[in-house]
Amino acid sequence: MAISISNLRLLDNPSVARDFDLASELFHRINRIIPQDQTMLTIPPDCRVREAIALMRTHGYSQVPVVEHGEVLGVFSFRSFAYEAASSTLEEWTKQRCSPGDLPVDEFLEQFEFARVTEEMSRVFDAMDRDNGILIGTPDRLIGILTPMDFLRYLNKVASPFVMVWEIELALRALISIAMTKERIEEASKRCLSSAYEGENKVPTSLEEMTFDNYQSIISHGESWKELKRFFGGTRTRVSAKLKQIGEIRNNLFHFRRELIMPDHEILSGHRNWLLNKIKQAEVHRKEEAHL
Amino acid sequence: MILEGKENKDFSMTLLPHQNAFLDTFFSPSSKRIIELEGNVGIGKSTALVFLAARLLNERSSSRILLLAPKALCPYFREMMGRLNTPVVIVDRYRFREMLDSAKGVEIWPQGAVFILSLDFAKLPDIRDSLAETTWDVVIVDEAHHMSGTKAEALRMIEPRAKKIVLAIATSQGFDTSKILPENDKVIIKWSREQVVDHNGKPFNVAPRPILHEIDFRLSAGELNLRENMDSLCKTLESYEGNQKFGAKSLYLSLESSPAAHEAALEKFTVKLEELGKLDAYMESTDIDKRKDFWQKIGEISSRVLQGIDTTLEDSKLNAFIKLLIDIYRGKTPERKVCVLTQYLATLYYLAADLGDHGMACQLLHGGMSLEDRLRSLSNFLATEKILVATTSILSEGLDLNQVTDLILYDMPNSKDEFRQILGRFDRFGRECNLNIHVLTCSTISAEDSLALPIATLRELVSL
Repeated sequence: MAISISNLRLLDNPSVARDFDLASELFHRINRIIPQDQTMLTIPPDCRVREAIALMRTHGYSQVPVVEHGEVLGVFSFRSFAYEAASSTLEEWTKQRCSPGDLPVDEFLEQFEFARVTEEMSRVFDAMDRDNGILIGTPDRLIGILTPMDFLRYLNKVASPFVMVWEIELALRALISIAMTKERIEEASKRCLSSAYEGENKVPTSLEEMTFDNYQSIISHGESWKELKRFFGGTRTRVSAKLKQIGEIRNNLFHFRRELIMPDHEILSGHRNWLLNKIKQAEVHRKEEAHL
Repeated sequence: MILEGKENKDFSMTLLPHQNAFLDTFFSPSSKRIIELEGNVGIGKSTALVFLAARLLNERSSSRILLLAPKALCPYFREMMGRLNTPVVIVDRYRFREMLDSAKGVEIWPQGAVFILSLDFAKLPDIRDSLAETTWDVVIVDEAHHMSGTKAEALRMIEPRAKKIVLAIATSQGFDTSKILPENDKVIIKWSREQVVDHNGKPFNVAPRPILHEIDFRLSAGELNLRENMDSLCKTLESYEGNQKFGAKSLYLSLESSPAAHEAALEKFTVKLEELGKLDAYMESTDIDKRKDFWQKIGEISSRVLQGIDTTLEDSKLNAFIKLLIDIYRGKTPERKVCVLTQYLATLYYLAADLGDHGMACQLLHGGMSLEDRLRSLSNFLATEKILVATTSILSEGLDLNQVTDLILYDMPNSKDEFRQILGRFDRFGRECNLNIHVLTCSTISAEDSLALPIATLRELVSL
């Protein structure tokens, strides 16, 4: 499936450029997991352990590829160092007449597997589990390094918008049901949704049957707002604006129109927190009323 | 847009005379190696660059072309080149890794395509080095006036192996390329509105000039109270002696836009506060109690301001805006097309919600939309809708909005340059009527207290 860019010069069909983009855009392969801003830190084999560890601490890395003349010799890591250092006896250390920190890193290397940027994520799970990292590229052309944390961050980035939209929808549902009785919800549904469903008989009458757009229509309607405003706060325009914004991101997300970017995450997170506050306030309100 | 007809290979047919002259200069055997194209915003520089790349690849299919542009413009160049059936690839970090992965030998950049890179990406050391090791048939730099510092350094390194270089520069920038590129073997082509003509020989500057209208509004007592709370927050921030930056100015600017923008900015600020508070506690180990008091006080004032937004139900600016729109459509001119510009995404949705409430449909345009959605929104607006609400940032993306009759600046532009960019989108070839620019100005706040660009500056720029 992967189309090499070198094909570009062989084919005179310009759609090749688009095809080249296609596989990368559609599939969650290793290339997507490598952080976009990753800069490769490498060290030469004669680098002292002490200096290597200081560098790793400065950059927050737990492993670093060791490279000589563009060729990867292996990886120096806290683990590789600990394994090797612990396997030597005091007698051996004494014989060497130097501390472990004075030794060059090439005495403590471990070998990581290499993967290509176009490979599937699952291909490297075992290697990742075993070595705590993999190298991307080839020994003579190192492109990147992947750690379990990169996987975790990537999967969280992909999954968190779905979770936030889930929370937002349930929070909206909860707030409406706190503010309005079942009968009032049914009335509101008929009032706000009849035109969209071509008649009162076809409109959903329970919140569970409704879509996000339905919630949006009910909340933004002047009549329902009278009952909802004390739970949502602010003005109807502001609340409608938030719902419209969430709705658009939701559509982009669920219909896979585009990849969500950082501002989308911030907007979802901000609106999710706003609803969380409203739910907390509604809870307090409900408890106070029950007390009375 | 000038680009039409996918299969049209006669490139001279779809360009305007000055654009054709530019291409002739480039393709002339006696052409200089470096061509500097200077011109006002909105007279077709980007289009000329697209046609240049397309024609070069059409004539010599093995050409290797590098196009450097601001990130926001990259998708538009790809789209425009795609329409001319030109092989084109936007190269970002992901794409570059794939190219490295699939490269045979040392050659990473194949022949027969246009490679579009953002200026910010091209300046990264590994990318810059890779570009500098490659022989390019032509290196095109759009908005080259953005080249300074590490970007200029990157171009300096790429230049020696480029057979030709084309730099497109906005005339108003006063940019000096001699600091970046050699002065010998260079030609400067200048385009100005006064000199260029359309297909009918009609001079561009005959198009009617924009008219600036000021719409005054006054803040209510509740809104002034909200402003006082913000003052209190900013004064407390000023008393902070640590190293963190808060961005109090951006909070003020958001307050001048809309309650929705202000609420979003404050929510973001509150999240930032928590992070900064933790960092501060970590960094400044002495005086911990004093620091804790400071963070607590800031947190309290922020939530008071947030509550204030929730309880302030009036929005005088929004009321003035709606009244203005009603007035525009009550006017006698039949075909009015209104574009509303805001700096904030939250304000964009806020306006859209209120317009909907007043029974006025609108199209939205902002940077978070996919390219397809943006094009759909724009074509709906141009075909049927009367109102387009857009974020200012999207206007740096080469849009052509010369059919708009009324431009409402809901928020003041941040700088003279931004306002020039805005004008360039509307005041273009093909405009047949005046552009009415409406600016919402608050008379309750003195000019010194406002952080926005002064209205006098706008007046001056419109009259030029």
